[in-house]
Amino acid sequence: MEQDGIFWPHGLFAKEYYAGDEAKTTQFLKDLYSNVTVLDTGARGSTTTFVENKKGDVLLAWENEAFLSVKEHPGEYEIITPSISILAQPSVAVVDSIVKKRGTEEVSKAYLQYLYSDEAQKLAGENFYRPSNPDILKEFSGTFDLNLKLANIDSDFGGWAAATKKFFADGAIFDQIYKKK
Amino acid sequence: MTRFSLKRKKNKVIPGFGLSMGITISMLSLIVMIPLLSILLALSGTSFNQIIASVTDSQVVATYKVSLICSLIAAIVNCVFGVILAWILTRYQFPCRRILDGFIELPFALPTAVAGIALTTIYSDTGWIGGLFNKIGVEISYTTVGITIALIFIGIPFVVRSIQPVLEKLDSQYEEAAMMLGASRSKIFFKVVFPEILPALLTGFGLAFARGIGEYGSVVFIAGNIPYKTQITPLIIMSKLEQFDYGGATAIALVMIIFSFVILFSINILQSKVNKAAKG
Repeated sequence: MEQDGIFWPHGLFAKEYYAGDEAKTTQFLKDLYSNVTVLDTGARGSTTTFVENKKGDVLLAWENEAFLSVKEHPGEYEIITPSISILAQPSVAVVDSIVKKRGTEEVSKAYLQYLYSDEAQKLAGENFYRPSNPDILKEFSGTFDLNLKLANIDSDFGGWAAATKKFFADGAIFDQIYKKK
Repeated sequence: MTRFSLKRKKNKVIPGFGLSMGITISMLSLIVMIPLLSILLALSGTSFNQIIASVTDSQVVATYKVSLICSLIAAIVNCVFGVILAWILTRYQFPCRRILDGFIELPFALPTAVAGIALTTIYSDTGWIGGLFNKIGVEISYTTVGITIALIFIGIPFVVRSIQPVLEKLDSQYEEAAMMLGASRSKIFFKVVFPEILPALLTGFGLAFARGIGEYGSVVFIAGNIPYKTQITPLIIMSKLEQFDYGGATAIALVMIIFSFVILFSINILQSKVNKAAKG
């Protein structure tokens, strides 16, 4: 039994793992998802279901969620890092038209720049997010598995539009793995 | 004579029909009608075939079944326990009656997400109540049973609050008369009391049923959200919105509106029949 709130990393992971063999990838996902008992609406919901309500044997989680669970419940869970995973980067941006209207351009840009300062990068690492600054990432080599091969949406899967169409659009791979046989 | 009576009708004690009707129509339009119509407008960019494909997709149809069946069972359970609860609250005086009465409204007041998380925790395999059921091999959280329990929770005030005023007003002379005429206690309940509360019970049933079909917040936590098994229709709408499929989401929303409308409309018809039968 497993439970999971995030589909796409595994879909992409399988594709990478089977070196692009579509049939094998879909079959892998079918087998995987036939064991999933709860699909929460978000990653934090999944963590709660698994960690607090003790549902399922395995939680497929984001790295930071996994570390947080272990921090909250020391000794209860074991983290298994796969050999391949996918780089997930939420975007952060200053929207010109809005900051100009509100006169907040300066403070917004300052915040954006701060996120990439050494101080903020260290804070991210302490909270289990991989720092994007490679030097600071190395300082956290005790926390993160730096040998993990990370696939990237843009370079490995042709960007979000293509990946969405292939995996998540109506009738795409995710719908196929749940179609009744 | 005729003139006089016509004049009398015009001069109501409290005037202001024009004003109150105007307010009624404006409020209904701004808050109910226009938003509902905008759903139809949002569909205008979607072709008829796309709409049909969205609403008849096998995964979506499976969610209608889960939503309708769980809401129906929840509404029926609420009717049985709602009558008992309303009965207890109106017919007996006991300590903490007022507090218990206040509890009935809690599902209205509580944010649905809070209710959902609380129910999920308590009814999960390791929770207080879920743990007991787990021992006899019954899973509640993350199954359709859990969905039904969440819907019972949010539906109970509709039933109790519909019946309560009727029970309070019900003249006990009818029951006394029936007893003096030799009717058994069960006969008094089913032949004298029950027909009186039936219209109100139907209202409560319809409201609880329709609300259950649309409920999202409390259900998503306790449902496992597994396609074909524990997915509810509102969840499908949410995930379509997240995929920017506004047309599909709107089409399914329209189906839900039709479901709710049909339920409430048939309850109304049933009610007027019951009322006629009671008067005739």
